[in-house]
Amino acid sequence: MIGTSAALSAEQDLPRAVQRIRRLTRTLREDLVLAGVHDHRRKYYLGLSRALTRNLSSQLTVAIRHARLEGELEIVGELLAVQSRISQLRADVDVAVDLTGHLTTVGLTRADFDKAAMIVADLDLGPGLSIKTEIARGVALDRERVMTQMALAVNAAVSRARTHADAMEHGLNWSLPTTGARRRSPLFVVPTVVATTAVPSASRAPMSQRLLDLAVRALPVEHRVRYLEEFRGELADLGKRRLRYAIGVVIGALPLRHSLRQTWDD
Amino acid sequence: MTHATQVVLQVLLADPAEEYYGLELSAATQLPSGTLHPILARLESLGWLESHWENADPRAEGRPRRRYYKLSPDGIVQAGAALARARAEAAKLGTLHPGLAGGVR
Repeated sequence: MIGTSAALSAEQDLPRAVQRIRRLTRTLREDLVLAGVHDHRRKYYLGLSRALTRNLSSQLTVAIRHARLEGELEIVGELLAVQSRISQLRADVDVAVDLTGHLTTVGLTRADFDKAAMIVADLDLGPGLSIKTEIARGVALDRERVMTQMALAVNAAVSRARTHADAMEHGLNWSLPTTGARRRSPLFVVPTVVATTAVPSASRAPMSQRLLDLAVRALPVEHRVRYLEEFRGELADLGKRRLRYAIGVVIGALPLRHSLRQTWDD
Repeated sequence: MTHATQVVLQVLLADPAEEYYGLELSAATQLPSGTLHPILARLESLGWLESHWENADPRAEGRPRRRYYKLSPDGIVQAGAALARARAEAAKLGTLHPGLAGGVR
């Protein structure tokens, strides 16, 4: 875990955190392969993906809470960028977040299927069925369709995450320091559509830009380009507070994702 | 409706014709961007807010475009009603529980 004082604990805590996350993501990847076929592991990898996301988010929260000076915030930002640079982690976080969304959309558990199948088996499916029984039968009969949809969604998520990871790798190779010398990207490369947008201030606040990119990756794919440009537009108007703003955007990324995926009944 | 949402709506309703971009709204409402943008996204999905990119060339301006928000015609009506409801509920709570801590009626 990134510690309370980023400068002091980074050397000890970060490698442990990375090791743990790598272990989790390796298992997650294996499970994803099975996900399209075996329903019984669904709850397991759903929990795993949530744990992974929660782990990252708690690290960030602890780091932000204790970093009061701009210098400390910058160190935290660097650590986050390094963390996000681990290609496997990056791809798997994308997969995990997307997958959680898909599973929430499907909204049916294994228990639902079993219960439905049991009810249908035990009852005489004659005329005068209750509404509940009809629903149960519908769920049971629809199982194949739902599972096929899930398999397709998982495949799409994995494929998209791989493409995205490649694009990120390319962009980060340019913008992160290598062999002691800081290299900066003339154009921030993420999705190809974003690359068409000129960002005149990119060279002035590379760390903030990278954090914004990290934040928008948590958003649904169709909203990423819009919010990346919107956040950059706001960032350009800030002076010394850029890093603080960018970290705030990272913290708000999951609530924003939630808002974008939900209709509001208030 | 959360207090933060009420604050955002109050600012927007103060001058419904006025357009704000994220930082302006953040300054006016004293809400951090991480709190503000989820609220704006919800209000936009409800149709209460309209947003559009500023009509400017990023190269000429030397910065990326801003996204401007303002209340939609329907949003003006709905937001006004929602805020009135929220105030009424708050007033009602004050009447029912005039002395919560001490139990004084």
